[in-house]
Amino acid sequence: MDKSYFKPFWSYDVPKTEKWLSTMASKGYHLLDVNFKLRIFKFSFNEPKTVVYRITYSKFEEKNLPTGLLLSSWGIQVSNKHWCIMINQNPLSNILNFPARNGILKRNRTIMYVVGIGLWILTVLNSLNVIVAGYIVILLLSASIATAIYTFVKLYLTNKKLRVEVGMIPNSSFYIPIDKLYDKKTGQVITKWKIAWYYSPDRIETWLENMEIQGFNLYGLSNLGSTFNFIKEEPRKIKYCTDFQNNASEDYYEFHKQAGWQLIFTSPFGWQKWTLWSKEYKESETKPELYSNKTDVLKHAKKVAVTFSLMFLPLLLIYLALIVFFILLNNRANPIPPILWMNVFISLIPIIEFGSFSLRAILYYFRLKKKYN
Amino acid sequence: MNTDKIIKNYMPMTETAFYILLSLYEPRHGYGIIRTVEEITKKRIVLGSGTVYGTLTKMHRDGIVTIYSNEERKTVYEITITGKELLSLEIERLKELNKNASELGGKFYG
Repeated sequence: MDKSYFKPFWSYDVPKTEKWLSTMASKGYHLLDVNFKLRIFKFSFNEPKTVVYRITYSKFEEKNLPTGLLLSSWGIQVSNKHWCIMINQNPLSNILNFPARNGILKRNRTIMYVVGIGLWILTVLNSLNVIVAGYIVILLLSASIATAIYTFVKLYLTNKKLRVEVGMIPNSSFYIPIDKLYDKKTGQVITKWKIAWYYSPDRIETWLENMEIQGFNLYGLSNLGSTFNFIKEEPRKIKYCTDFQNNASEDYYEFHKQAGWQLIFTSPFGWQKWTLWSKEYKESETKPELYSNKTDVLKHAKKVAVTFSLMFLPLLLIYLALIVFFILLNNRANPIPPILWMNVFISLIPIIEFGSFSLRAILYYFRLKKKYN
Repeated sequence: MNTDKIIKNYMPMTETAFYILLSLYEPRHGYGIIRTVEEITKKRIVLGSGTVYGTLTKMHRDGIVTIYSNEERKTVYEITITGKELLSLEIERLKELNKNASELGGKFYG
């Protein structure tokens, strides 16, 4: 006796779906096939079994599992171009290797990013619609906003859950633990305020390294990363590296920590991560580098410049379209109330902010290009 | 990405890419790759973790490397069948270079 289930939002909480599949198997319903487009799961009835399921997402279809997974008795139950549902007949505690969560985390992050931008556009459009007065349109827009918010929140919570599962630190900034014996009162404590320093990473790195040589040891940043706190102590030779990652995978932090880099700060919000790393080195050693090749350093700078320009341009265009729209509407019988003009001007603030980031990122790239040529 | 496109993108290989793939004669986690390359090149090449991370991400996207999570929940990198094909082609190319260098190199001395 086959059963089919319609699960439209199954991909929003992958661990939950995996547990559901295992529960079905324990009742005797084994996953036969999945119609991913229609979101229908087909089961066939057999004897109850305890099985573990894992769902992965990747750019390519998973045809050959890595030997590491085969050794832990994983097999492919259902797969399509991107999704792969793996099955394991062993009890959970006996399984050594697991499929990586990178694909799902990245996919969720990408969707949240797109939905986030969509939400921004929708809320801007929604405020417009009060004048245009089409209640059906308002309803449609509100429904879209609601779905977008639901998607965003669900994916955010799933990713949070997954990060805990893979042991990745979910939190943002870190303080270098101050030696407990150190008395803050006897030393000189200096606080410097730098907003959005990451768009000129090379300048920040040089500044921090010079501070260290003068004996100002960086002991931490504020949560938002706008304040740098130093203690006057002994001069140190420390290499600081600012790294930008567009859609960092879960193992990013572990990777560099294993190589001896200390995490000083990572941007708290969003998928685009700015991270500040440090590594102390001795007089006799060469200065450590996060990127050992000059081409990689330039590639990084280019990535920063391109990413922020790409992000800024569509925002600017949408905003200009909005202003034009407003100006055109204002010539009609009903003038636009000043409060809505205020709305327009308030939206100007993020545009200017983003524009400055974009510009600084481009300047950073050209500075480095000049340095290495 | 099909094999021809990969070959065009990766060959001839940079030292970084070659040694990263070579170090994957058995599955390794990131830092293990850095250490292995340092060992087999007798400290001549010490790869930066940023460089390795970036290259591995690209290789994973191109399907020449795959990943899984081990018992310590650490990411382990493993070379794929496509990756093995690519590496063999590169080794053949290097063998040709080496053979010709050995045979004709002597003409440049004395």
